[in-house]
Amino acid sequence: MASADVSARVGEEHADEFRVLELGLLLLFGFGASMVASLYSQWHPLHAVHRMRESLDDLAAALPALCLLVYVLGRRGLRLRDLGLTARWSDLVAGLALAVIGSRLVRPSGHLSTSALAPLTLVIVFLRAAHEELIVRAYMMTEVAELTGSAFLAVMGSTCFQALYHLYQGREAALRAAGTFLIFSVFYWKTRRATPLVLGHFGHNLWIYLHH
Amino acid sequence: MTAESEGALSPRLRALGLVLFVTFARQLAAFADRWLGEPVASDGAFDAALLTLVQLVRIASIACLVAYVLARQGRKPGELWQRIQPSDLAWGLALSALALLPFAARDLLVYGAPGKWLTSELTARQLRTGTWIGTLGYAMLPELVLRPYVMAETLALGGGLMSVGAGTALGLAFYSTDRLNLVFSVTSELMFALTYARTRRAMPLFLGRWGFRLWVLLHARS
Repeated sequence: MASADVSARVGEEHADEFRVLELGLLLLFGFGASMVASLYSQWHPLHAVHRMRESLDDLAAALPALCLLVYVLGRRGLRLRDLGLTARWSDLVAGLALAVIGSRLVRPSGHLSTSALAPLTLVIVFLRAAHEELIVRAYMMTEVAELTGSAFLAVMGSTCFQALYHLYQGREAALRAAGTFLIFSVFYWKTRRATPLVLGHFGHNLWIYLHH
Repeated sequence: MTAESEGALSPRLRALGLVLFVTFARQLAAFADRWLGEPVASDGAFDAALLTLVQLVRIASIACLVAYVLARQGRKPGELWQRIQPSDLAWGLALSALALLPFAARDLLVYGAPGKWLTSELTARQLRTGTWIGTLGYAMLPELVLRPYVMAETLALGGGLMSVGAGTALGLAFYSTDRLNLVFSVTSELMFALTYARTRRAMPLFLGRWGFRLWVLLHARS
């Protein structure tokens, strides 16, 4: 029997096991290192986190995880579109609204400056937003909801997981950020649209970045 | 080759590309950083314990990814290795010695005498807990997971020569080298690749690499 047939049969027989495995793999792969660093920072202050987070190293973390997401979805005959990644004009409006809501909850401390704006910075900030929103929000919420049948678990699981790996910013900041994540999670649960989330997260992060 | 098996190659090629991309994405980013003239993001700014933890997570994620892509193809990670055998230790020791030979030859050719790393007294000065864990990780991922996986896949996709070439290239990419050492590193990595091609046993590769690294550490002066 050809290995493609074996693969398909194995996939069908263990569909749920594979889904749990894939979710764990994506979270470990995309956020394992951030989670470890974030939890570690609760006992040992880290001073170099921001330096690491403003470099091409971010691309090295985000791009492979997104490729893995595409691969995992592809094995099940799905695409990013199935998670709600679409291109509509209304995505821009909804994204802007989410960015504004997020910016009201998390206020940056510095003065606004456009000196840090560069094409590469924009690409990095955008990919980081896509990395988080597509994996921890759209994919994780879809999988948790379908595996457990609980919307509450899906929303809270995504929100708490995201807040946990933001603990490196400090507990108070992570808690404020969790408010934003909760709004984003509820938005996704209600609309199943991922593009506004990516755009909203991008706008929100860019706003903070411009105040550094 | 049948049409059915040809059709099965595409997912294997995709999975291989994915594993290689995720493994070397950080090296590619560091290369791009240097090329763009940007300051390279340095893990050195973190403390050693965190760095070890983060590296362990990265090693575990790549190992899990390989296990996953194999499972998705209805295969088991165990098929990349043969069962552990007592002779693995002898193979590993022999491989350690063989892998060190090209660098001893380099010293003789370039400096006219063997280096201190070969002749100095043994010292355990460098062997702290973190270093032990580091040397295990240094050998485990490439030798127990990546080289067997990449060589098995390229053997199926392109044949024996391609498999040995890919195994050698993987070693070179993973254990980065400089221009002076390139020829000697290629020779050393070729020995690892040939050993796996000949035996299909990963444990000797792991023991060989670990022994190689330990030898260097046991002769480190500072």
